[in-house]
Amino acid sequence: MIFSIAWKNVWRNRMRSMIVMIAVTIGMIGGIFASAIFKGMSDQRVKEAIKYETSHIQIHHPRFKENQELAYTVDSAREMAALIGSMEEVAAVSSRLEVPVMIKSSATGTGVQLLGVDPGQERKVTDIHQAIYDSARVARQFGISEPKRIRRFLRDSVGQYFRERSRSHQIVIGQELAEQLKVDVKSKVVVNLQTADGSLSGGVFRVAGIYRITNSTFENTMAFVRKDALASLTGLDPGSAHELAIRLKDNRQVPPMVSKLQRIYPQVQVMSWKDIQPSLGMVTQWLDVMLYFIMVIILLALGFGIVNTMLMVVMERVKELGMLMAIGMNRVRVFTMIMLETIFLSITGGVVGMAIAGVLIRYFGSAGINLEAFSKGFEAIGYSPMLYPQIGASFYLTITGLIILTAIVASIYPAVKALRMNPAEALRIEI
Amino acid sequence: MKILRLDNVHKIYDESEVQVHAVNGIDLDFDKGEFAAIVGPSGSGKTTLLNMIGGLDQPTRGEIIVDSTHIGQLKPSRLIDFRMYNIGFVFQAYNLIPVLTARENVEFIMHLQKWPKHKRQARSKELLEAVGLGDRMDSRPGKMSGGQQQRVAVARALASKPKFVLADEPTANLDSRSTENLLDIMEQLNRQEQVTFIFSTHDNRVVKKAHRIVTIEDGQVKTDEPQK
Repeated sequence: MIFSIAWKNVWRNRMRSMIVMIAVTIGMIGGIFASAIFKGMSDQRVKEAIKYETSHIQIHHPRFKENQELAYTVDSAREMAALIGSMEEVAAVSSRLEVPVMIKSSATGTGVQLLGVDPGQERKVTDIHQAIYDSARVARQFGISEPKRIRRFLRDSVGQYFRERSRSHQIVIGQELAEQLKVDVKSKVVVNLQTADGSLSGGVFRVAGIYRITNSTFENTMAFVRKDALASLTGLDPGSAHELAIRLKDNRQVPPMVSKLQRIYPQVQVMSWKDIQPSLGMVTQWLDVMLYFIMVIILLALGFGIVNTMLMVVMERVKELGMLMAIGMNRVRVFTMIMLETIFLSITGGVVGMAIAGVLIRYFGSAGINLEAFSKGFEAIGYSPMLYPQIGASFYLTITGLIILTAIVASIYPAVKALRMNPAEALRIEI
Repeated sequence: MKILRLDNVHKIYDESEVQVHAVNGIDLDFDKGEFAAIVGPSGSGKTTLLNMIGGLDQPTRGEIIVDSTHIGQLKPSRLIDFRMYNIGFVFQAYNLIPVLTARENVEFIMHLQKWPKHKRQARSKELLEAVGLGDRMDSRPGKMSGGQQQRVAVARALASKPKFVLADEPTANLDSRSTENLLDIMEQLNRQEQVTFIFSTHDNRVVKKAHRIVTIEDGQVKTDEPQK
């Protein structure tokens, strides 16, 4: 019956309750939707970083990352790649050479990391090849919208990953680098590097394709060539590798696989994507904390509003509460009734807010929020200007818990105030 | 059979530096089934006295004994339960729970006492019919007249079969017709249920109906007489 009274009491002053509920609803929509945008951005960034940049796990010579000497190759890389590739958790392994080089066009030059890859293997590990063919956006940026023309543009201007039958040395570069070097597909660039024996070497490469991802820094600093071409320029064995990039079947397998591989191959350095890009790992972890922080701030602000409302409720019902205590409602029941009223008041607004936020997240999660106007800024920090808000079911559960907790905390002061009443004084009865 | 005994009850309030003797050595006994009125001018101490009888206030000195329980010795939590099981209250301003129907208001105490549903329903129906509100059981207080609300309050006070009912100026907010009606119902229930009714009142119509009149002045019993 206390549940029933508490629920009915919520609706005694409809207008006031509705105002509180609407405040909670708006707070929830704002908080959850903002959290979903941040979470979506973060997840998207991580997915794209894994997809295009880091893969899930990388293996190097233990000293390669601190000092990128050509000599620091992974011992028995070919056998290791074959063995790891056969593991159940592993989707694919790409064996790479990685060399710092100077790249020059007729206009200018700059330093980049040149990755020597086997295109067949690399396609299974990273999706740079798709970033070339999927770059319809690039076409639109050039003002081309007709599908036939887009296809022709992609073939002629954006190029391909690596042409199988091409005899020339091919290079795939990022859009940012292409703009900096002022080159297009089929342009020639010169690559200068230091060979394994310390002498200088160089070669001419033709731009086979220009990739476009959401990380302009990566686009500007990472270029891809065939591994055998890079091996012949550096004098390294084409079978050797500075880096084994590993793609797993399941993201959740990353930590156990890192431990497993490190155990099997103690002589190499096994790194997860979080180790390779620590800032990214830290951002995702902090973001989780920040999401709850945002919600706690919103709930705290709402909590004060709820306390105020419940104090009004208690003050208005002094006589009634006095009567209830006089006729035998004990303190626990009075406290429970006020607490339940507060919970009902908060959770009703909270549930409506969560439902609306859920619908919005579902819609924008598939349609996306296009912030193309700010694309430069987003891409400079590695984020896509197309946002897909998303949030896990566990977040909603936690939020429900937080709302209930807020309501309980918010009910304490008004409830204590009610409990301190002397029934006789509260009633002002002249019995 | 004595159900309530007041033994040299005093209540002294400390107001600033002056001590106010609101109740000054009252000795009273009430039998089962009495229909008694406590009358007296404003400030005579009848409010304070009824507050103490109802366990809402504690005497400064003296004993209040209900059956064999010294209610001054009960802990606050036990006292609340004691009130719930032994004392019915009727207030001047009705004080019904506005969000509940007449029936739910009557059932409220039985609910607190964990009566089974069928017993609660039967008892609330019996009482609401007895107070002439059999057809208004599902009405909320806001839809009822003052007289009807006070009749619901009487039914609520009797719901859990208390030892006695304390009624604070129960007719103060009622017109003559409602007052007559309410007093007839209370007298009838007093007979039927054999429950003691103790009123505080200024109202001569109530005084006339009472079977015993206790007059208080300056915190002391001036007269205590039966009335035919």
